[in-house]
Amino acid sequence: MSIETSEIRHLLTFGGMRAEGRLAAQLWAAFLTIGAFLVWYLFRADFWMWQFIVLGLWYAGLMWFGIRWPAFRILFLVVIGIAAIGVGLYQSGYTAANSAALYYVFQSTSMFYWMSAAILISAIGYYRYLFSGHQSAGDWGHRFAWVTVALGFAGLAIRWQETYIGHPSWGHIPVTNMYDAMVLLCTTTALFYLYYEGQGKNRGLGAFAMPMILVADIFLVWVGVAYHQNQIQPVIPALQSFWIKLHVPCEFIAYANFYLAAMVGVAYLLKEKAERTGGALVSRLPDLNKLERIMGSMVMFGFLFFTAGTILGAVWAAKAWGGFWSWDPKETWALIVWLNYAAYLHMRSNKSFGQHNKGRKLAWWATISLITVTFCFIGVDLFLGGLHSYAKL
Amino acid sequence: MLEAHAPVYTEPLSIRIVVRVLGSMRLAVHLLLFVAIASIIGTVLPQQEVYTDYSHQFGPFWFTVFGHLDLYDVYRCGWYMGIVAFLIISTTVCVLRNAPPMVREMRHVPSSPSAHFLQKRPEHFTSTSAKAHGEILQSAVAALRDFGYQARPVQDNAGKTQLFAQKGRFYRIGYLLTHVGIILFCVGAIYNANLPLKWAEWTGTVHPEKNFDLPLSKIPQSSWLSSSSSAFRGIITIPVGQTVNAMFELVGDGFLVQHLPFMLRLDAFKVTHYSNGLAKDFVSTVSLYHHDGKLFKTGIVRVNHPMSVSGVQIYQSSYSDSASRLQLHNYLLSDPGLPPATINAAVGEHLKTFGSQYAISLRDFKTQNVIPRKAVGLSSGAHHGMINMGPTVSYLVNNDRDHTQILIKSYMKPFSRHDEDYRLIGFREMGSTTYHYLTIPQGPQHGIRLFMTYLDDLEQAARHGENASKAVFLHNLDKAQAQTRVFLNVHDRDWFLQSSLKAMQELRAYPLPFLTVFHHYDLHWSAGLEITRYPGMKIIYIACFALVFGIFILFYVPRRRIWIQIDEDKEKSRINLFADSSRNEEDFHRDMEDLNAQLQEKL
Repeated sequence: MSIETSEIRHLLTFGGMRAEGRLAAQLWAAFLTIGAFLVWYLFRADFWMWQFIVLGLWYAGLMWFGIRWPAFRILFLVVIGIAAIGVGLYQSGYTAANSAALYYVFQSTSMFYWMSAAILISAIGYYRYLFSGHQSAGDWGHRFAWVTVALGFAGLAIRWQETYIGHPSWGHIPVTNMYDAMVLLCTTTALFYLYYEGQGKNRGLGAFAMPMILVADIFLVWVGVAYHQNQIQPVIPALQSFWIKLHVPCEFIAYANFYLAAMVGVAYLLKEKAERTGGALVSRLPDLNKLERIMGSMVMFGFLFFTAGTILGAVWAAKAWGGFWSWDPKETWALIVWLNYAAYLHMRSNKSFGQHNKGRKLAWWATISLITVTFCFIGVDLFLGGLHSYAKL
Repeated sequence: MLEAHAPVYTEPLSIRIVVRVLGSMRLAVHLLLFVAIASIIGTVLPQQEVYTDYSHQFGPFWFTVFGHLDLYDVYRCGWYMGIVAFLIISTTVCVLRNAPPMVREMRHVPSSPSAHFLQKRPEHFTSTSAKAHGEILQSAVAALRDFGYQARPVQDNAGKTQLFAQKGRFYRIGYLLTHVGIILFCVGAIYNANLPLKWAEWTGTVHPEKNFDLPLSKIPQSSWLSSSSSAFRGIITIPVGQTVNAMFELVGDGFLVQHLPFMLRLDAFKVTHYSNGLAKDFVSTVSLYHHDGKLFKTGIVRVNHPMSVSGVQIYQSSYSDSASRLQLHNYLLSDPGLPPATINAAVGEHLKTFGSQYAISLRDFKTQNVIPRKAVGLSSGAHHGMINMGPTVSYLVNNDRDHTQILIKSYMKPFSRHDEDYRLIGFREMGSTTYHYLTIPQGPQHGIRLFMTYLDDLEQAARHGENASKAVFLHNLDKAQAQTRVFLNVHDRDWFLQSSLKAMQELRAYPLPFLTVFHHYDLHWSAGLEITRYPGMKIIYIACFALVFGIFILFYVPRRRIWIQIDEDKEKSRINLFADSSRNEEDFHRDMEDLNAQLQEKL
């Protein structure tokens, strides 16, 4: 294909990296390789073709992310560390009833409350940075965004363990109701925000991303309190599938990126306005071209995963419902979202559309698409029902 | 997208214009959005429901208007398919127009371009060196190799050697794979949609039967489809132990009967439950026979685990009660001391009782009934706020005299509150939404015999002129215990007296002269299976793979080209570095700055 031999050699020897970075990257590669072998060794009897493929994809994905983004490596280890404590406590027979550590910190519901606190602090920090220029406020926002991601993913890992506690037959990956879904959305969005922040080396966008995550988080707390969705329930037969472990994460990576793109769209529009009328935003946000590029790369990344996730969903539907595509409301809305962003990308890539105000048009488009995505993600479950409304309240 | 620079086409101008419009990006963007907006209709309006429901919902006028617009099955109707077809034609024209120049571009590397072309590249760096031409070339090759580029010496027009290197030569495959993937996907979908059948429906050789109550043998031949159909998707409900050789496909407001390529017997059906009563799995055991009666396959069909047999997939889709035998005990409230009459029935049957004044029709039977604990007055503490009420039967009682209708829910398992057992019977009048409950205390041997006898004794005592007093209650309860041989201990006796008083209070609001208690059932299931044959699935999977892989290449594999020219001079050579990238120019610019620095270091 398009990768020639010298490129592969270049990749394998971590060429183009500074020496100290190279050593850490090599350690990361070794760590992941050993980890993947361990997983293979421990579970190889239960695995079938697709599980090996998935293991390979996770291996490749984590490798790529870790090499491209050194901070991700530390995050990964921290998440494993926190999750190990929680899982270890459960494994040694403790429950939230007889262990203060579990009750206050390590049981997933508590951990999500801590995560909510971190989201709130982070959002305030970034917001303060954007409007008053306090460097340290931005730094705190940044730190607590990391705390959010670490607690969120660790909490989900512990929750996975919790599904087995008391009822071994209930065990399932915790992505099966609205509560779990919102946790996943918050953490994934925060993670991708931090990635783009690292790429763009600018903290101004945090004041747009974190408040949006805060809204999702308020919804999360609300479904937990008002509908008791924080309590673990067994899953209905239709959800007992291997494909859920692929379909749902793909969709959430996509949603996270689409949401972030919408927020960058808002930032673009405000910055453009500030450039005309003057304001603090001008100095603390990246320039317009760069914002447009960030927005575009978010939509592209989201689109790739949305396509893959929707197809995986269809493959699953072919196993569960007897048809690849049933024109169920959720499926149709997924198609609508897909067509919407396909049109966006066509307009973005093409020179035949007027260059005049193109950035502004795209920013408006990405922002308005937020409604489409939200309707596909939550609205269908709340208002339309259909085969797919597992997450209904 | 590529712009056609030279007029390649030799067709007349009108065709050229049509082709250009069809393949244009503007049209594509608008069509994508148009399909998206049109798709919303079918999510707002539930599709393929019973047509009379629509007519109730919209009234006769709008029902007809929406019907003419095909809104009840919008995704299979002509106008929607038309827009999608238009989008596909547009995509196809776009691919046909762009593919040849793209393939040409990938095959012929522009290795020795004109000076004008090079000057127009976005990246241009110049450095100087005193080294000889050959040495410079070597250094440049080494620098390029450090950055992962494989350099190739080429001769330019003047016969001088220059270097050319590129990554992502086949980046255009991204465009081709995504767009061809979409077209292939639609081809597969059309193949699955069984076009010959659609044609036959349209021309009227096959027409859907509208009468859903017709037995299979009476359905006219024009509604039957042969088992050799290339594609089908239908459902069939089979009672355990029965064999079928056909199934039903819903079409518009009617249905077609599809012959199956085999005979299918449902050997067994099983529902398993979680510890809290929610359904865990539905499992059908089926045997498949050739039409000559020879068994060729036996296996299980579970949710998420369909059975696959020679291109046909069998799915677990639903299940229902199929005339399970239910046994109810009927007590007369006018003479509660009488032993109950036993009623045997199944869901769907109608019975007469109380001297034919009341008609009972059994409506529903469930083996598990998980409801919120709050609904039965319990705190929502344990078990996540849900409680499993166990087997439940519900039936409608019609009073032939005054035509009132009462809905009754009767539970087989006792309901425990504070460790004391009650028998629940829910009732509500047709039209009201809330159930009222009778909570009848149970004796230690289950059943409400003790309560009914006690009630009878009390009524007799009242007829003999005795007043309600604790002594009378106690005496009559002892009497009832002796009569039924059901004995309560001291603590239970107090509880029973209290609860009976409450139950008698509740009975005053109870509108019927008899009380029916759910006693026993013999289970008979039927399973709903969905059976499909989709010959186009392979094409669809290939198309999907092409689409995802194509998007990846399209977004993340840019083509990056570097030319290095050396202008030899007497003392110093000038080295020109030209480069361009098809995507992500900013990162590329940084890379090229680094490359240039590296090159200068080596010179």
